[in-house]
Order: sequence, then C-alpha cells, then structure tokens
Amino acid sequence: MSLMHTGSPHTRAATSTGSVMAWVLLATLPGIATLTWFFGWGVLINVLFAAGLGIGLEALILRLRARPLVVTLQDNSALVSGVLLGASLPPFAPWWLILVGMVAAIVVAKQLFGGLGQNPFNPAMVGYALLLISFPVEMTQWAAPQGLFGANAIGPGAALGHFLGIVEPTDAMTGATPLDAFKHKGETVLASEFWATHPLPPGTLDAWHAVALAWLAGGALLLFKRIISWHIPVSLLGALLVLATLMYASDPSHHGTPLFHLLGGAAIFGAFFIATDPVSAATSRKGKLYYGAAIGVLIMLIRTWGATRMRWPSPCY
Amino acid sequence: MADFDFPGGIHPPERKTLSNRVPLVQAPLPGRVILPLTQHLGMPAEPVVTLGQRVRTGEVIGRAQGMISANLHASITGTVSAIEEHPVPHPSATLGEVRALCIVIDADSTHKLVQKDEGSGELRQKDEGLGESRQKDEGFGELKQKDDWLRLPPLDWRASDDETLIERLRESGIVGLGGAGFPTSVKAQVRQRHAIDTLIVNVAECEPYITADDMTLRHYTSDILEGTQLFARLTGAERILIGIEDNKPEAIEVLNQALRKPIADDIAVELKVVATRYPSGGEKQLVQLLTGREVPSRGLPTDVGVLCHNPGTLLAALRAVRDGEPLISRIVTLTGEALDRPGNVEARIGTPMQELLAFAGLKPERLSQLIQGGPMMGFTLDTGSLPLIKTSNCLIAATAEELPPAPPEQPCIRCGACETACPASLLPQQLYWFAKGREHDKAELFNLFDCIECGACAYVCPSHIPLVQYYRASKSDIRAREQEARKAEHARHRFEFRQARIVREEAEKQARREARKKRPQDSSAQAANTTESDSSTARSEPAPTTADLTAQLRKLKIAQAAARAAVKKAEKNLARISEARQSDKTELEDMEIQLATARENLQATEARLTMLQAQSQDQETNPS
Repeated sequence: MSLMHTGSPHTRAATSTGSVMAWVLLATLPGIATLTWFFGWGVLINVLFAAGLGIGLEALILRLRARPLVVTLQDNSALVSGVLLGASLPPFAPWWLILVGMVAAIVVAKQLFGGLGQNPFNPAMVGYALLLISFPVEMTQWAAPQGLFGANAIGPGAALGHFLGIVEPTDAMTGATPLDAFKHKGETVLASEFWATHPLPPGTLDAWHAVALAWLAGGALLLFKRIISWHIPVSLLGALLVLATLMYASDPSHHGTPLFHLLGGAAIFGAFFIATDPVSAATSRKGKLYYGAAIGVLIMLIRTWGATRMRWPSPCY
Repeated sequence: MADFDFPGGIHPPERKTLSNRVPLVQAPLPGRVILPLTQHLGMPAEPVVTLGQRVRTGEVIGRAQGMISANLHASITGTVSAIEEHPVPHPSATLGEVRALCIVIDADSTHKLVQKDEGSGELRQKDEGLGESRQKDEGFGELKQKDDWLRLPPLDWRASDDETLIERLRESGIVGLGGAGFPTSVKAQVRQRHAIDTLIVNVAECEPYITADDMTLRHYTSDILEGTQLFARLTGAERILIGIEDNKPEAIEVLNQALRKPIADDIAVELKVVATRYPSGGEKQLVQLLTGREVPSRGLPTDVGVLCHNPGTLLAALRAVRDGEPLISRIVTLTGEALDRPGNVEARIGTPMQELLAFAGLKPERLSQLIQGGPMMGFTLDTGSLPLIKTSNCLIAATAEELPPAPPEQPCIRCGACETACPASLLPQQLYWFAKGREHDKAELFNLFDCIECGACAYVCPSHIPLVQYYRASKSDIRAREQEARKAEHARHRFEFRQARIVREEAEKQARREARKKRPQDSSAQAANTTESDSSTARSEPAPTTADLTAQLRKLKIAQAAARAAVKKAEKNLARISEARQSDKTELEDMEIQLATARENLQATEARLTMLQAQSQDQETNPS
C-alpha cells in the first residue's frame, strides 16, 4: 500500500486567498458602479486598465523572479490592488498616470519586498501617494457629477480620448471635491457663507454621499462574509466622528459637520477597503482597534491642518 | 446548553453519520496480536513472558516499570511467538516508521477463525453481572478460536478501600482511552495532591468522524454511570458532569432516561449538553464550557479542581474492578468512505488494523489515506499492518476525494482568521512567524506550549499554511534544547545518586559491623564487664562521651527529618512531572533518580541513627 502522508489537520475549510480576494473584488462593485454612474466612463476605464496592468506587471515580475506564475496569480491580489487604485484615481486620469501608479504599486511596493504578504504598505496606496506627490495637477482634476447619460455627460469615446491623452478635459468638466473646496474656502469665510455661494457644481454633494453609501454596502458585504472584522472600520470611523464632532462643537463656523466628514469624502472607502488590508494592518483584535482609531485621528488632522492639496480619495479627502 | 463559553472554535463537516448508524459489534478474534510494550505515557512495560510461553487472555505479559507506566496483558489465548521490534502507530509516524518492542501472541493454530456471517455478532448490552455474561458475549457466532480468560477476583468497589481499587486499576493496565493514554491508577491518586470537586465525563467527541464515545455511552450507559460514581469516590469529587455535544441526540436520550431513576447514595450526575463546535472536547475547553474555570497556562484541569475522564476509560476501570478484567479490548470507530460497512467495533488490543478494516469492508483501491484518530488531530499511518493499541479510538480509511491533499502553501496575508479560530486565545499568526524564523524564545513568550495542536487555525487558513506543523517543529526544537541542558543535569544527578549509594552502603556496613561487635559483648557482658568495655573503648578510638552521643544523635535526627522531607519533595516532584503530559522520558528518569538519591540519603541517615541509638542505649545501660 502506498498511502498518503500528511500532517494534521487532514481536512480544511474550502477557503483560499483567491476566494477571499474575489469577495473583496465583488464588494467593490457597488462603489465602482456608483462612481461610474455619477462621474462617467472614465472611472470604469481606470479600473479596468489598472486591474489589467496589475495582472500583467505581477506576471512579469513573477517570471523575472522565477516564481510559480499561475498559482500566485490565482490569489487575485494583484487584481485587487489594480481595482482599488483605479477606483481612487480621477476620472480624467491619462493612461501613463495609471501605469506609473501601478508600477509603483505592484513592482516597487509589493514584489520588490517579496510579494504578497511581505509588503509593509498597501501597494495601491503607495502608488496613489507617489502619483499625488509627483503629478498633483493630474491628480486633482476631479470630474463634475455629469452622469453617464445626461445632457452634459461625457460619452465613452470622449472618456477614452481623455484616457489616451488626446483630449484635454475642459474646465467645465472638472470640479473640486467637496472636502477640498471646503478646506480652501479661506480663513475669513464662514462655513455658512461658503455654502451659501454654492461652490460646487450642482449635485456634487449628493453624488459623494451616494458613493460613500455604496462603499458602505460593499463593506457590509465584507463584514457579513467575515472577510474583514468590524474592529478597524468601526474604530476608524468612530475616532473620525468623535474628533469631527468635537471640532464642530468647538467652532461650527470653520469646521464641517460630522456627517460631512463621514460621507463627504472617501472615509468609508478607506475604512472598509484600504485600512482593512490585512497585510499592512494590525493583526490582533486589540491592535486593530488602536490602528483604526489612529487612522481616524490622522484623517481628521490632515483634513483640518494638512498642507497638501490632496483630493479624493486618499481617505483624507 | 452550557453555561459558559470558550473562545474561538470552528465547525468542520461532522461526518459522524457514516459510522453511528449501526450498532456496536464485537470484532472477530484475531489469530495473532502484536502488543507494544509502550501504549501509554511514561516508561515502557517490561516483558515477563518468554518465547513459546502459553498465555491466557488477560494474563500479565508486561510489567509496569517506574511510577508512570502500565501493565500489559495478553489479549488472546495462545503462545508468545516473538518479542521483537515492530512498527507501531505513533504521531511521529508521519515522518517515518516508528518501531517499538512488541510481544506477539499467536492463537492456537488448530482453531482457525471460522465465521459464517461477518455482519452478525451484535453486542448485547450487559445490564449487570460479572464475567459469565461477558463470556457469553464472546461466544457469539461461529467463533472456534479458544478464548480462555484469566480474571482477577471481582471487587465490590463500594465496599473496597481506595488502595485496593487503585492497585486493581494499576494491575489491570488501565490507561486513558481518550487521548494520550495516561495511566489511570496515577490519575486516580490525584486527591493526594489536588482537591478535586468536579468530575467531568468528556463525551463531547468534537472531532469529525469519531463516534466511539457516543456508541460506548449508548451501549454501556449504566456501566459508565457506575464508573463515574467509582471515580467520584476515588477523587473525592462532589459533582459529576457529563459534557456532550448536541449532535448526539440518541446518547443524550439514553442518558436522560438512565438519569431519571437515580440510585440512592449516588452523587447526582448532571448532563450538560453543549453546542457542537470543535474543539469543545479539548480538555481545557470542556472544563471552561462546563464550569467557567480557566485552566492556567501550562497547567492541568486538576489545578482548578476538575478531573476529566473519557467514558471508555470509566468502562474499562469498572470492568477491571467489578469483573476483574484487565484492559485487553477497546471500542474503536472504523470509518471513512473507503469502507463498505463503517461502524464501531469492540476489538482486542493488538489486532492488526487491516483485519479490522477488512471486517468493515475495506476497498483497498479506494483507500488513499489511513488515519488513526480524527481528521483534525489524528495522524496518518503507513500501512494497515500496525496493531490497534490502547489509544486507537478511530481509524479513518479515507478516499482521495474525501480528504484531499492540502493545496500548495501560499504566503500569509495576516488575515487573522487563525486568531479568531484559536480556542486557546493565542496569536497563531505571531507564533507562525516566530516558528518560521526560529525565534523560539519569542514563541515561548507567546505561550507556544499552550497550543493544544487542535488544528483549528490551519483549518481556516486561506493560504493553506500547515500551521500545526510549524508549531510542532518549534516545540520539538525547544524541547531538544531543553533536553540538552537536562542531560547535563541528569548526569550530575546520576553521579549524586552513586555517591549517595556509596555513602549509604558504607553506613550500613558500619552499622552491621557495630552490631556484630556488640553481640558477643552482650553475651559476655555479665562475666567480664570491665575488661570488655575497656578493650572496646580502646578499639573504637576515643570513647564517645554521653554528651557527644546526644549531640550526634540530635544532629542525625535533624538530618533524618531533612532527608525524609527531601524524599517527600522528590516524590511530589515526580508526581507533578508525571502528571504533566508533555514531560518526556528523560525528565521522568531524572526525577526518579533524584527520588532514589533522596531515598539513599534517608536510608544512610537512618542506618547511622539506629547504630548511634544502639550505642547510646549501650552507654546508658553500662556506663563505663
């Protein structure tokens, strides 16, 4: 008899890294769909291109490192990095911007450190940070919420034109994010005066709220499937809300409402999809609580006193 | 439901219906048994039979050596045909064959096993009664093989004292049948060191596939309940809890019925049904579930006043006491999809596993993996020619589809699923990194040795990392290192023992000399009192004065008390060490030798003391 020898346990749950990542991908769908719905085809192009680049770059480096290709690619992690970075970029991002970002994410931040599980930072966010510092202009051209099919909507062809860098987006198409606009309202302008001037294209704030709620739906799915635990999102958003409430209570004329901070930017996206990246986050339950809370505090500090003109969607904006 | 909870846990597919749908049956008597001399924790037994010797079923063939050991009995009637090394089932067998000294007995060859119907021979439940009813059970079917029993006289445990009962357990080779095979007689003496208030019968049987405890309980309900009373008596427990998972409704029903008519004077037995969740049957987990008491790190349930027993052990203990039957058989689950007729059988210890598997309808072409124990904590075996041993509670003959090989190991993504599943509140991921980086100090600091190797972490790991293997490797590295240190210590202790022995022998020799010297002196005392005493004082150097003697006597008495305390301490240490399941042989040996040293010292002091006392008496009676 030639019998199989294995160490215990001899049975395993039917989970895999690949399926975990697949659930994360699935959970991003509501957010991406809502973003696309409000901000046009550009979002979708970004996501698809970044995801494709993720797989391509990962395969390239794996081949250079002589690592098993198929097994590793099946973990879907490069795909997740691509989708997260793609969803974070402004809808008018040109192709080379995405390429630079993905090279930084997959090649530098992930594979150079040894691949999945070895990266000290979230690859997608390393790519994002690099782009933000290197290409502030491109990175701050957010779109106005013109929708997919409205009168002013940018068609797929035009979006592709922006993507390929053939067509420059006009001023009418672009707009600031609510958080960014509010932050740069100026010291002398009171919050009430600022909002009275209707500083954003119509529907902007509603669009952001809808997007935030869509990410929340995706996050709920991850929680329900136990892909992530509640500790980081709850402590992150909790700390953010506490601090926002304190600031607002101390001086309502210069600080946004807690709800504005919660839903006006990418806080929800960051709390459920970025901060929960297991590789770079804290591991123990207690550690996760501290980790999330620290991020929440940092977000509020940067939003209030940060100097850079950061925009969507570093979780700060 | 249980009143308390333990952290973590998982819900693997239970797969118990494979084997718990058919009644417990008697396995056919094997024509040959292979009986390893180590089937328990501690020292191996010493063979006390010779080649070619005829033995009867139940006859002692191996004697326990040292404090932690167990007797071994012939499990069939026949002739000792070999005493040799043979492969045995062992957790390390995954890494390669493990061999141990075994006694092989061949049944008398004239009576070959004849069996008309394999499925027959359903075991009748024994209500009460002694050996005869059991003999009837064995006479089932068309068995022609001779089964000539040698039993000890039956005991009425209610009327016997503790020493008699414990001696009976020791004599009968009873060991824990649930897991590690710890000698039951040692466990029964627990009250000497710990106050026990609760006895827990562990019928949780949380491992998938295994149904042996379930079936044992269903078929021997009253015996097991009586066994609990016996052990409550021995341990002084005031409370008896039976912990059982809610996936055994039949056993729960049978128990409830039995408990409805309690026997007068018996301690009330509480049935505690717990939710099915692996590993609720882990000793520490069950204690926590049923009593809310947490067993301290690196401790045992006895530290919190609880003693756990497996129902099979209780049954074996009761049979040893009530029927005078030693441990020569056990109930084992034969299961897995490579078997046509899975179920539970009562089989003789030493039966080659392949005979049992054949009895259960093994399809060899479907077999991909043979596992002793459950799929979570069991270990794979090389071949079916290994013997069934006292701790073999389950054999899984699995097909490749049933228990497929683990997918390739992928990098840890630090998802923390292992931490959520860990029933011991450890940080499995942290331990994994430490084990991988061979940072053993850190691993110990993170309580690696509190890991019960239940496998819940590896079960949930999405990266298919064989975590338990990493922990085992780390543990054995640490143990090896500790053992190196202990070896040196051990050498020192051996030397000390030798010194002590020499001193003792010297003291005894001197005492004998003195005694010899005194005798002729006593007889001639009246005749030549003065001259004799003169010459004696001249011979034994400066004559000790009375004051000198008293002072020396006092000194020796103090030394004797100290030596006595040292013996007590060494005994206690040995008991403690032998109780801790993880201690190995060297450690035990070392403790035994320390104890022996202390005893030598005590003997030497006592010899000197008696000598001196005689001298001082001498001086009092005939002052020179």
